[in-house]
Amino acid sequence: MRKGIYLNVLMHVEEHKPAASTTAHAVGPSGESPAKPTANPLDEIKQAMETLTQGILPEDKITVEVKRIRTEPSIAPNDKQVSVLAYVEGEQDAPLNFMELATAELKKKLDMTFGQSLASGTNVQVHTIEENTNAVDELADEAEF
Amino acid sequence: MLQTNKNKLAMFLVAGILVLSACSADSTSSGGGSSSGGGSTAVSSGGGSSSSGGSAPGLPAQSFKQTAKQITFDSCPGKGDGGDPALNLNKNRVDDGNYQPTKFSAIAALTWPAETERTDHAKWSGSAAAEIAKAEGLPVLVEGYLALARQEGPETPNCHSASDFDYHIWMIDHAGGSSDRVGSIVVEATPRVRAKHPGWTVSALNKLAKNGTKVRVSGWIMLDPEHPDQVGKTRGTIWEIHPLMQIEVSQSGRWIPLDSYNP
Repeated sequence: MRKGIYLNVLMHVEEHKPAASTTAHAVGPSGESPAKPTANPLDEIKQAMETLTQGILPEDKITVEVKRIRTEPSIAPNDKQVSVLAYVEGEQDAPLNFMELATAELKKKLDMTFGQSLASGTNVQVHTIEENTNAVDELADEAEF
Repeated sequence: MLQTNKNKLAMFLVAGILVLSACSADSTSSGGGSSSGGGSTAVSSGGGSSSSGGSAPGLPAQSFKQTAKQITFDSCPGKGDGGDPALNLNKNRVDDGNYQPTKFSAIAALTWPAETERTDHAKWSGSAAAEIAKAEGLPVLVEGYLALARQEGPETPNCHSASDFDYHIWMIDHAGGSSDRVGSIVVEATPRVRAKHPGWTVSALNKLAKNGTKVRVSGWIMLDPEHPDQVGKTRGTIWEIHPLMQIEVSQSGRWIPLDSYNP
């Protein structure tokens, strides 16, 4: 059976903040900047997710389509949170648990994508992956209003 | 000395009872819809009426309940592919019942214990399960109007099928539109039941909503604990009529099944 699921991924984002004295000299040995501290983390995550979806191969167990990426209210002053709403599809026997399969496969892809710091030096950690059972209505209402 | 200790013990017991009473009152949620009477605790404190055989006020008697029947549909069993199997079995029932006329306001006024929210049936306390049983599984026939209908996405009761979806329909007690969903009761048309109702399309349902056509729906009362965050925004309560078993349309003073409706 062809199955699908909407998954909400909540990520903690830790921006790279170079020391003030080194900012002006943040140039690598070849004359290139090793990091781009002025990059917008949200844009970087969007780009990374695009790379993730484009990098999925036919032999992979799932396909991933990003439906929404947005910043979420932070719990602590230095903590930034970003959520990704992803639509995941795959093949599985009807009675088997698709949420487990989709969550595990997406987690693998996210770990590969965000296992290292982004170009700006920003660190992204996947906090939770949960099914969003209201995604269709949320997206439709957001489009309407 | 002994008397003082006895007095202290008595005061302690009274204080404990008061605290427990307060906890009990606070743990009941309400839809807060316009006709629900605000944060009433009708379900938890009413104890059912003799006329309705232990059911919540205004609902059919418990004697109208029957054993739910499910089918395997497109290889998907009634318990779905995960989540709360008891909830999925409720959503996937396909048996017809002896539907009893019930006011929209009676369902909108139903409350539910807070502990049931986002919690699987198996983890509910006995008292919470008993409160929910005063309404869940009763066959009802309710008149009203539609605010909006939408095809949903993949869900556990449908084994996350990428092609078999529920239709999410918002029912209201007056003619209105999408913005009136705040006081609505969600009524759901499942693929298992829709297989016998080719006329139940999103387009046909939204025409009824747009035209303010009065409808009458038959189905089973069910608590959907997954969506308490929507109450007061896009629904009035987490009590639903789910699944819908019949949709009829008012035409020239008669009730016509939606499948046969030709305006």
